[in-house]
Amino acid sequence: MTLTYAWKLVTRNPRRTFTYLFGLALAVGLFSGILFFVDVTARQMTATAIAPVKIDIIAHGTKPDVNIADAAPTIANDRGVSAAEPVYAADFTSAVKLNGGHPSPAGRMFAIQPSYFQTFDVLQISEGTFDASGALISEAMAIAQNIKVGDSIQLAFGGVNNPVSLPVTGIINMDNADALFATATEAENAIVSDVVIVDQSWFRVNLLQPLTAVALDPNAIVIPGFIPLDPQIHIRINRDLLPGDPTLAAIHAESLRRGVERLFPGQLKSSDNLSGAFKAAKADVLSAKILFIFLGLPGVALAAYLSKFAAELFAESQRREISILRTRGATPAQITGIVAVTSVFLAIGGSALGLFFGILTLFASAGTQITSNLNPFGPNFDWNVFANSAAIAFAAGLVLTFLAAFLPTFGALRREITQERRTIRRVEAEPFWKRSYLDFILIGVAIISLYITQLNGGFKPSGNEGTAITLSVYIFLTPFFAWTGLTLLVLRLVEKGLAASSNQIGSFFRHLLGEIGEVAGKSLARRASRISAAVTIIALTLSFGVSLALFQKTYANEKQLDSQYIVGADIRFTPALNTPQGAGFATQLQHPGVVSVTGVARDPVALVGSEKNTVYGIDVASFRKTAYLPDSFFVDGNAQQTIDAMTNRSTKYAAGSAKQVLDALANTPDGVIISVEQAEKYNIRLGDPVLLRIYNRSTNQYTDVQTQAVGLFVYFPTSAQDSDFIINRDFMIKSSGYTAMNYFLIKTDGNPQTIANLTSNFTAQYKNVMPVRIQNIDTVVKTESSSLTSLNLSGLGAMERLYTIVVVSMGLAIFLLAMINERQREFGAMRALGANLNHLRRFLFTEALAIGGLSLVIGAGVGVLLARLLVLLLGVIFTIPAQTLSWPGLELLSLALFVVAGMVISVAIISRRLSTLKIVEALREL
Amino acid sequence: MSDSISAIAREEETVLQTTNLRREYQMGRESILALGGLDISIQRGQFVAIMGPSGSGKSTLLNLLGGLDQPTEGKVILDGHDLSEYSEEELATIRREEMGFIFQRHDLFPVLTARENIEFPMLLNDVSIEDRRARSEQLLNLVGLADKADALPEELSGGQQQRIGIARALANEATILLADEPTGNLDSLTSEEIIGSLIEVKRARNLTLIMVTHDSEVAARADRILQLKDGQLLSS
Repeated sequence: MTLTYAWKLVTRNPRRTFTYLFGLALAVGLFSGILFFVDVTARQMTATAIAPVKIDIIAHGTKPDVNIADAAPTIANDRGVSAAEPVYAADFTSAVKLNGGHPSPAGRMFAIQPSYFQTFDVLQISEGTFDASGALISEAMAIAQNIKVGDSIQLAFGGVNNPVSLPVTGIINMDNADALFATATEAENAIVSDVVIVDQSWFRVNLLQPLTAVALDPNAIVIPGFIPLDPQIHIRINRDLLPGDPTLAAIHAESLRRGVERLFPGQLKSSDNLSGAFKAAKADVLSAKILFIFLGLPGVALAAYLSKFAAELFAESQRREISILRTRGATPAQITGIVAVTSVFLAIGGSALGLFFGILTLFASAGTQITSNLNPFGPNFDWNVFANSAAIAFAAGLVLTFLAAFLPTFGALRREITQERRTIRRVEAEPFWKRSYLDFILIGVAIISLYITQLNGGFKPSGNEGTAITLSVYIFLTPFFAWTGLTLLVLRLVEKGLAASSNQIGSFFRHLLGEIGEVAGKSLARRASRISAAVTIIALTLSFGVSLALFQKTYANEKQLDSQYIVGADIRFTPALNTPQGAGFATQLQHPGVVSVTGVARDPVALVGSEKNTVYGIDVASFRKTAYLPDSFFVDGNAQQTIDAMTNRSTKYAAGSAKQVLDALANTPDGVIISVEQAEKYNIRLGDPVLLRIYNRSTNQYTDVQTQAVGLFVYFPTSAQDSDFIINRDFMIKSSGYTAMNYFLIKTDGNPQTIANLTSNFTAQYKNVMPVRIQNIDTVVKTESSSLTSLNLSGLGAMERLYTIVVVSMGLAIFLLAMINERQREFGAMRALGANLNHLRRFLFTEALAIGGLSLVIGAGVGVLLARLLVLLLGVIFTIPAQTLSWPGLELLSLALFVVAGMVISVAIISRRLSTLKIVEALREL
Repeated sequence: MSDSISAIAREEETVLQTTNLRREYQMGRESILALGGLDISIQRGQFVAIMGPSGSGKSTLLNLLGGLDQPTEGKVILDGHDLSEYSEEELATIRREEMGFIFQRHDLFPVLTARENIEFPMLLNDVSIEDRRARSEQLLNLVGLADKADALPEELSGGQQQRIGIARALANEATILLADEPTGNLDSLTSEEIIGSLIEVKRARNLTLIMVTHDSEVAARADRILQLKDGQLLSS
């Protein structure tokens, strides 16, 4: 009986059921949309993180005589491994082009099987072919020694008496080959420019035996970092079997690595190149999850409140039904059962509809690229992850219904049964939060938590761009308390403001809508509590749309600035070490569209005290015209505030300017400008002498260079964490005896197209002339894609904006509908007294205008505040924390227009409801 | 002489008339008859009491006479014009200008003060603010609540609220007052006061007063009683 009656209650009140289902589905939809988005993003972040990894696992032989040719097929057949290639690496001491040329510096030979080219995307033959009796040489080696296909080279190996000669059958591009240089002992790869690739069969016949003998000889002279012979097995795992979650994926990869060692105990020591990427992705995914949930959850809370309001809309009619049931003899237990089962029906329906909404909004807002992983028929679809998120969202829908629909009805039912009375008007006691000033308490807690976070250095950037940045969960406490407190405070202030300005509001609306407007305005002011609830909900929803749009724009801007900071200017041109270029090379880079060029010298092995440091030499005149130099990078080293901050180890330095610091460097030939971090570390103040020890390439000895501290900076363009000591370039060349520039910075007219064109022109121009590395903002943004700074917030932003528009429009519609429902008798009486539809509509417009207008103003204000707070808190994920908000003018305008359009449509639809009002029925309403 | 004749003629003039007035309500598939073909004539200045047991069609008749509801069949003729010929908006204008309604639960607007409630119908009629203020003062004095002008309805007693309701019904100088059990929720002393006030106003302004009531003492003071049962007129 209970089931049947509950089902009838649901199906025979379609308007009520639909309204509630829609309200609930909105909340569940946004929540599940965010969860799905996080899942897809996590999967994408994991995939992006491991994409640059070319060789998953490298197993090194623990002895030079390990038989890798036999071991490789066994490993390849291991579960989870898709391929294994045996590789020998051996360093040669020199390579000479036969009949001419000079000996090259030392280089490395790799002996591979022909199948290696198909198994790993590491080596690209740019010219010629791989031949069993010949050699491939690196582009850098070919350019440096002017070696062409068809020439022959002679290679000498330490400890091997006879050099070997080979014809060059091809040139190989090593851009993707960094992984080849990993050694069993070094964590960081030492990249070698001169590389020779030979066939493994040839190697076995000609070099394996003598090199094994050298490697096994305990009396051989060992040069640090020199590899006599390193037998390796390069392993590719089956990435399709990797879980989307980076933590699980890391465990999977780790177990495969151990599996390889287990197969050949004591003979192989393997290193897993994926774990580093997973580690970065793990921290990034966690931060992304927190960030997404933090950015999206308030929207869910608001949508949830809306569903509660939608449930309240029909509370009166439900009470009437309950009264009828009671008069027909239903017991309280039966009625409770009916209410509970009705709630379950609504919860299941609303949650299911919500999941559908969630997927729809994800598709609508995030685009097909991101949602390809959500295609159940696609190969990458992870049913477990999807089911997990869907279950969480579904459970949230059930809880929400329990809180929003069941509890209030159950409470009303109990009151009615115990008090045996029926109230005609809703009696609203002052809520607990208002009596206890919870709003002020929460804002106070937010301020304290902000202060504590700041005190603990929570906002200090970690400085390592492109890697994982750990965000403390505590960092999210401040916005949580601030948002809750602000919400309640807005509610209190709007209510007080409305109640206190009845006459002003009345007068305002009289001017706008005539005499009836005044009455409507006054009526509005006297219903402050209901109106302020509506204003607060809509304003806060709007504030989230606004804050997210602002945050997103600031985030994108910061991403650009970070990249600009890393590149140093629009383009960075780095010649290879084996083709050094002097400062004069800058003139060759003066292409059309280039505004200025500057060469930067660098010594990575300079000494300050006994510690190794990197010293840069810049030409101030051209550097200031070319490099990205915002004043926020510099501090005023003479200011007492800076001295105090350095003494107290705080970051409240006095603001300086690029001009001030660079002028000081230009005017002091032996001047040095220093990062505040190093100045604090070495206790240096402006004017102090600073002794640098620079390696002189002419004398091959360290030279004492006396400098004087003339300026301080927080950041210096070209980012690198090692740019701590900057001196004048001429002074550096004189001290180091080395005229080559480490890289050249290029400033263009700023047009993205010009930057792209110049980048491709330079690449084409120098492709066969000298090896160079060309970076611009775009390439840096792409290569830094494993970090949080490269998170794509646009999908979440689009989803949030869609919801802002829907929730705001729906919110207004529901509030207006509630107003009509609650005041049906009043409107009926007005009609009886002779009010026409136009009069009634003006009442509705007054209410809509007041709610809409106040919401827009308050929403914009709170949105800006929240965005500032978000930028302050989440600024740590960027190298350079944002100083100001970036304003997405067009986006905000379109958001406002959509919101206004949504409101107008809502009002138009609801005003139709007025025209169908039956006076007699309205007057009969209890 | 001619003046008194014309006054008598005016008094005998039929202000409201119904012919074969029928009202049915649809309850699911069932049709419920509320009024079954009434023919009534009400003269200007008459005090007509409508009586009958619950569900006899009293309020339905009042609503039809006031143009708040549409008959299923038949006509309501006001000053010679069939109400069914008017649109909803024209009916609203007629109610605003010709009629005053007094409800059982007074139905004052809870967010407006006593004065604002009285001024509301004048405001709908575009009466200037000065005139509204003057007339509301006058009406507040008439119902003896001048000192409660700025009170909200919830600050007034039931009787006071009903008197404000009467003042509101008179705001636009209506010629017909329609009252649906105006004393239904009041104690006998207050009821007596309210009815006294109403009859006094009716006489002073020569209004037509049509009142639904259960109270036979109130009905006894009427010029005419319409007795209804099951939607049929028993006596008039």
